[in-house]
Amino acid sequence: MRPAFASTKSAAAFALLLLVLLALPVVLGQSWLPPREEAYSRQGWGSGPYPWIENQIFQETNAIDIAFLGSSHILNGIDTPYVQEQLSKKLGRPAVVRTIAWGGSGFDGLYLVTQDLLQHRKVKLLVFYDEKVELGEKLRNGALTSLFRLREQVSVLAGLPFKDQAAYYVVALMGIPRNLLSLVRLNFPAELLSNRPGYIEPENSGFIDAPSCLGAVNGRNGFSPSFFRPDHAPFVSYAPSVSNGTETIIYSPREGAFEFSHAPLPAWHVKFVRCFAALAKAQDCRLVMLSIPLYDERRASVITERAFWPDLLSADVTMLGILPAKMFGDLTDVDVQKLHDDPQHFNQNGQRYFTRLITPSLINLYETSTNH
Amino acid sequence: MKPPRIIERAIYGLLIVLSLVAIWLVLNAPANFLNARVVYQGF
Repeated sequence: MRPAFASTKSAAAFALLLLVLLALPVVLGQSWLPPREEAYSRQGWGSGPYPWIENQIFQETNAIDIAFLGSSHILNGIDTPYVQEQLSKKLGRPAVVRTIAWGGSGFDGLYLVTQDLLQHRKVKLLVFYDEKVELGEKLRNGALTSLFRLREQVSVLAGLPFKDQAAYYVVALMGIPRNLLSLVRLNFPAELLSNRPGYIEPENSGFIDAPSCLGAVNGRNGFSPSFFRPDHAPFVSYAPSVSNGTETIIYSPREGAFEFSHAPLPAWHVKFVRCFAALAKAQDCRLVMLSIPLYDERRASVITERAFWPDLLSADVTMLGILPAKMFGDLTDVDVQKLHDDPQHFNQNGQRYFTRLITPSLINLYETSTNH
Repeated sequence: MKPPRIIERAIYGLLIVLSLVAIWLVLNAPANFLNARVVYQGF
């Protein structure tokens, strides 16, 4: 059989090449990383409204009164213009409310985007939710290869199990070719609005509403029984009454509305969400964890959480939710389906209904807990 | 001139170790990054 290498010298050269490639995340210094904006501008519209996110982090500069941060549940769940309108009325001045959200869950993405946001803008009240990884623990947010850069984030990995550290090492390694390319030439900033010259119609148009909805998306799909194999019914406008006594619940020890599973969470979830909470605390940013009900929880008489978050995060986190059984109480399953895009996400109907229910509590929390 | 046998063994040993490390890193990576479409999006 022909040998794999013609000589020991060529074998040594190949071993050296392999060594250099594998060591690139460690070897390349900060000066080999493109500006941080490039991590967002290279995403386009494919897996979230990243041009909007980039705009909000790096171009807008004013303080944000309420920011909704997280992945698709919060992206689909909050009627941001409505919250801004109500808060403005209450404060007697134009309030700034933004949704900065993307597709693909995970506390790693939440931490990395929050870090960039809080470095550039003051956020008074930050609303997030439990970033369960619905795709399974082995899957991660597709934008991580650009958001996670080893040189900048090495301290976050300290204390993680070796297998998790290795997984993030590969994520950083996979981002390097594009980082180097961005050093040679910067990405074109995407036009946010379709009426501007240079706007390119994205292939995935699901997120292009975001700039006109302050970061939220307006899902106009009927219900699909599966998120992974979409088969949507036609969209029907539907607005249940919000004056049926449904109240949001803020966790207190005497309140029995919350139930905690206390199942152990993956180490990387815990690490990133703790770093996220510490970051918010350092920037004097009030945290609210919002429980967003899923379709399968529609008859539940308790709000289920995977952990008692204030203890897990060692932070002052207000937990806010609605009892699903009360929210959907009088509605038939068919009516509840009219509020959903799929079993995980609200559509426009659900977004409007849910937002109108939680907004009074959010405004109250803003007024009582921030220095506005 | 052929390098000493010990050097030759060290080089091939290093090559085997590095290959195994690379294979393990790929297998341990988040599964969606092994999907070409997602990798393409990531780039």
